[in-house]
Amino acid sequence: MSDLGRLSDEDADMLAAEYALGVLDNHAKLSAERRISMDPTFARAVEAWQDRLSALTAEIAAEAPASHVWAGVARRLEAPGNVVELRLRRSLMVWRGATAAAGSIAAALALVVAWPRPAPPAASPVLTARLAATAKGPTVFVAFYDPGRKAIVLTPASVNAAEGRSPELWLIPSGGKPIPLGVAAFESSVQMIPTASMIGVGAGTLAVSVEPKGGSPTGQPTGPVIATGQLTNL
Amino acid sequence: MDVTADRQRLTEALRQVAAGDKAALQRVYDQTSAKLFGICLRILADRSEAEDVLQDVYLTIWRRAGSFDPERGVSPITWLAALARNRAIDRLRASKGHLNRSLDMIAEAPDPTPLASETIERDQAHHQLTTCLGELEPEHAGYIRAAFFDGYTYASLAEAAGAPLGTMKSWVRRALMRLRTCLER
Repeated sequence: MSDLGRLSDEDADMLAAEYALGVLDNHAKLSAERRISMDPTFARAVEAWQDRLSALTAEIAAEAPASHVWAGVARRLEAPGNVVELRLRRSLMVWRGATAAAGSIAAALALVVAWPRPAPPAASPVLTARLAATAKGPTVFVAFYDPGRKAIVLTPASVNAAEGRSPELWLIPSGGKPIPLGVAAFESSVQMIPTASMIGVGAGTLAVSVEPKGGSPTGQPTGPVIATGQLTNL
Repeated sequence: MDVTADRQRLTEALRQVAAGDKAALQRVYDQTSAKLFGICLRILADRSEAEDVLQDVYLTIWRRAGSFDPERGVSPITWLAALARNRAIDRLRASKGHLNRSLDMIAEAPDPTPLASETIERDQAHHQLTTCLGELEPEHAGYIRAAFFDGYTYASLAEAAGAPLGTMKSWVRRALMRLRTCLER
């Protein structure tokens, strides 16, 4: 993140213009995208430039695509791999915000509560993720985010308990280190309440690893990852 | 065509897409796919590639509709058009088959024949932008167009124009600053 240093307003606006126009090389482009996800003022400057330049698209004649194009979209929406997309809402501000140093969020959980299975997630979860070993593999865990409780509930679907071990849920931001979300269980739903501000994490992956009982001793995954699901960003 | 009603309808449909409503995605598609396909086709100049990118664009809308915030004042069609253009340019660069048009061709003024206008609002924005582009050095306006429509980067612009990279950057930056000033008038 060293390339995300401070810029003067003028330089930031020029970078926004260059990004919106598309003249940056790949490295600078990726850096600008990181800035967009972390700096709302910069994100708005990019949108303002996209707005200014988009008038050029008026020179492009509209053309109806062939009907098979929508059919392809609809088919891919139903593909199993797509279920893993987390559906994030704006009410989910706790998930956005600035991730402080990812490593320092070992204290991400204020509370871990376990209750016997089957535990239907209360209220209406707005965010769900199917976690599986492979895109087409059987569901291993299901994650819900309950905005009422600001809690994540991880429920086992088909997973074999490992004696003396605990499953642990992680959020892996794109290009970042895994952030521990909490220690779950193989045989019951576990509710976790992240307290750390996770703002700015943007896109990332949810993953469950198998750790020593009680969770990873290091704050980073130490055991095998048995399921992942994609978190896509806002 | 009622611009405000269209915009509201699209904004509402995007909100429903963000809530996981697949039927709403089809409404977004019905309302916008001709515009977005036109953009993909213009940039990629290959129907099959453009169709492929267009599918990708709508799957991205499906996943990312929640990041569209109407309260920030950007119109939904601008947001969608920027998304389609970015995807098409990414594909163009990945395929390496781009940059085969000469800069001279791109720098030419657009066809003066007005397109069937989408809306008066868009016409005005386009008129203002082309007026401001017209106030730049013609080559510099050409660089802006080449970047916008054909995915030229600083490096490929510099190469095509036979200019040092630093010089090209300062030309384009100055052009962008003048554009902004002109558009704010």
